Amino acid sequence: MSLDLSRFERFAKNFSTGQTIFCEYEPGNSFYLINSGRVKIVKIIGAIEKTIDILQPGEFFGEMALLENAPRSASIIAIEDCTILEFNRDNFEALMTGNPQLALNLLHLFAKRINDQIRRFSTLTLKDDYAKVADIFVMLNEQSPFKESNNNKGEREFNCTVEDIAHWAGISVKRSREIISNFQYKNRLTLMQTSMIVTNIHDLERMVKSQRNSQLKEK
Amino acid sequence: MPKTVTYHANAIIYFQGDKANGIFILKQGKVELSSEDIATGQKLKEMVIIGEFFGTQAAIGGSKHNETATALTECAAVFLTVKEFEALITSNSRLLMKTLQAFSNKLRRIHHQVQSCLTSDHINISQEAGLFSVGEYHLNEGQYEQAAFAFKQYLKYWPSGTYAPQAKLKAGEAQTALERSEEKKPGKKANQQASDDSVITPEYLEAQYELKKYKIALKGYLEIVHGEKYPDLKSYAEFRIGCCLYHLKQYSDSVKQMSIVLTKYPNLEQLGDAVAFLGLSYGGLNQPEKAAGFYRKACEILPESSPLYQMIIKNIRQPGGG
Repeated sequence: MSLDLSRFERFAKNFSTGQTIFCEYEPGNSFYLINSGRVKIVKIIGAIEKTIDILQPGEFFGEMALLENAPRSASIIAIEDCTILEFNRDNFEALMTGNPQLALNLLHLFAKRINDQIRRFSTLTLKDDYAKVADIFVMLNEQSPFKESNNNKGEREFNCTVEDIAHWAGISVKRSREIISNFQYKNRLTLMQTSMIVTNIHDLERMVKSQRNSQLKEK
Repeated sequence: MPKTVTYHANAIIYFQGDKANGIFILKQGKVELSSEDIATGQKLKEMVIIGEFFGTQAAIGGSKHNETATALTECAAVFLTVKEFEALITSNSRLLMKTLQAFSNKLRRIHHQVQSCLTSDHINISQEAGLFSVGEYHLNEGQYEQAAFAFKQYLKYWPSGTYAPQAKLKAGEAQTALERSEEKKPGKKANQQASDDSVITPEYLEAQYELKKYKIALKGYLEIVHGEKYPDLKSYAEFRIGCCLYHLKQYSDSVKQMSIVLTKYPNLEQLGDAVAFLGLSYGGLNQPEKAAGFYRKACEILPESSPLYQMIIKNIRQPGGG
């Protein structure tokens, strides 16, 4: 992607390696576009720091702030020396109209976020916490379709923790741990050091489906 | 070329759940978009205004339609492929802004729905307490720069907040520690200069390692070991090489590497981890007796709270597992 960002130099800020751009929980109303260098997205969960993703030049972050003054949902830390453009609602329009390619990228990002949110919402409408947790795995599986492993059809490894599951399913960490142990006891999954291995994803899919059907009947 | 398509009254243009392959602009007639509210099962209806796009978000996102589009009267619409649509809006900034706004409104609505679902039964940590705890986390981890930033931001937004007096103290503590560590590293500036011509930084490699991109991490740590940019980090990089090899399932190489690390750096900070990885590697080589020996040693060194400790205990209980 080639971007002409010379017009936007006045919005550029430099960050050196290790510097925080913003912190989780901080209020914020600006959004950012990486011009050079890379940053990592991290969340602190209990006593663990979890890297969620690494962003490259040309990528956005903090775009949710354009929508409402929601607190930041993760911290952004430079892992290289970076130049980053900082925008707010007022100069947002100038950036977009002056750079249609960038606007298209943002449009794609919005479309993706809308889909993610719709998908997440459908999990949250499940009434049973066990079905919610099962649906999180189904969702993660949809997001990164996995190669069926050799002889083990349906087995999937997910790079997530009990805390992540709690966060996504909107339940407490304690409850999430309870459900994960129950799944483990029933041989539905194995808890690893930094990941979880689902024994058979199709089994969880069936569980979610039957819960949805019974909810529909109630209506 | 965009083409015009016509529909009879009561015809379905697309169903909810259909894969989207393009975008429509209504030219003539009446089109209704109907969907089912996921939460309540209620039918939601919306009319498309002439000249308006529909089916956009699913087409751009490459996903399924979230609503059913029905022609209520005889209709004509222009059908655009995603490419044609993108060419159209990038040449018309008014249209572009309008589409962006429509998308952001939709995102805001659905985001709001999700949030309202969460607050009912999810115990949310307050923003204020959350930011303070992020600062504390970094301070405990010796990440003074990040800690100082978090406390500074806390004091900016909540100058007389519940944790303000503590935040002031801790911000000072982090700042002092930061200055002291900067003084200790006179070579830091030089290092930063040198790193300009290379994209590899230890922070970058650590992040790659955490994301399980072991091949990339391995390559970078090898560069640190053979380069002169980070002399203080060589022992750590050698240790990390062993970890990467283990994760890449090259067990005999990781055994060799960890054995070298243990002889070369007997005072390594991650000694317990290194011993644990040596055990795990022997486990991978199907040598359970050797593995068990190293597991026992690792357990003597590692604190019980360490995730590796937990994992090893599990491996001891069910040999071959893990």
